[in-house]
Amino acid sequence: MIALDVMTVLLVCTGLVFFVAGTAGLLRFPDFHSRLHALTKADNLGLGFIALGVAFQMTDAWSVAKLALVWMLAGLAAASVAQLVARAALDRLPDESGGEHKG
Amino acid sequence: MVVIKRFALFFSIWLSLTAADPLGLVLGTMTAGAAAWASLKLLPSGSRHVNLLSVLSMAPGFLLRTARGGVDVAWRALHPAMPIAPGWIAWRTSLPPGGQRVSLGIELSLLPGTLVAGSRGDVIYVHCLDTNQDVAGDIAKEEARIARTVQEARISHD
Repeated sequence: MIALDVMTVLLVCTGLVFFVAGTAGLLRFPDFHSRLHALTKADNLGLGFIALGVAFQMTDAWSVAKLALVWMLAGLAAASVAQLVARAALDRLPDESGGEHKG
Repeated sequence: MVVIKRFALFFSIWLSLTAADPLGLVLGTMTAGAAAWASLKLLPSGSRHVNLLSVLSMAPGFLLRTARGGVDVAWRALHPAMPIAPGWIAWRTSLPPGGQRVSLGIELSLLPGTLVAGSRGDVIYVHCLDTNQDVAGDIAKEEARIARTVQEARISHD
């Protein structure tokens, strides 16, 4: 049992590091789209680690399946929302030359 | 066949949510049926068939790239010097519109350092976290990989 708890603590802590990193990126990155990088990629990985860590506490396969489902749906939602947010900022797109862009 | 596949998908989601409680099976069957019907109305199946095995075979690589993308951006965000050089690449894609382009968009949004943020005609706008890296080379590689996968799928279908 202790081994399972250790796995949970390690994995959840790893997940938290990625959530902290995503938030740091949101606060520190200079422009709109760089912040989207941080939120979509780091947070999704963080949630994956937390779900995996919690899975070690589950006693039946259905709960593990439910956790996997939560992660997949959250990832799908994050990817879709990121696309929509990026598209909503389309008027901030660079000109055709693709030069440096100010957020 | 498509109806059965979608019903199975929604019913398995129901089973996960209810831990296959026998009390919910009747309601779950009806709900999954209604969801399958609605999904066919909202998203009719295309002419191309999705092979579940080939999707599953892509999963490990997909997970690995997600992890690499997350680690990369997390490292840059937490690094005191914040090593980023954000900028844009306007990439003229040779992939046909539709599924293949969508795949490229999803792949690029997962890979370390790139994020697709819209398109105009054949040009997709890729936001790069670090323009000092060879991002264009990475995009070209990814595009070639997708084109190859689709070709292999076609050959195996014929």
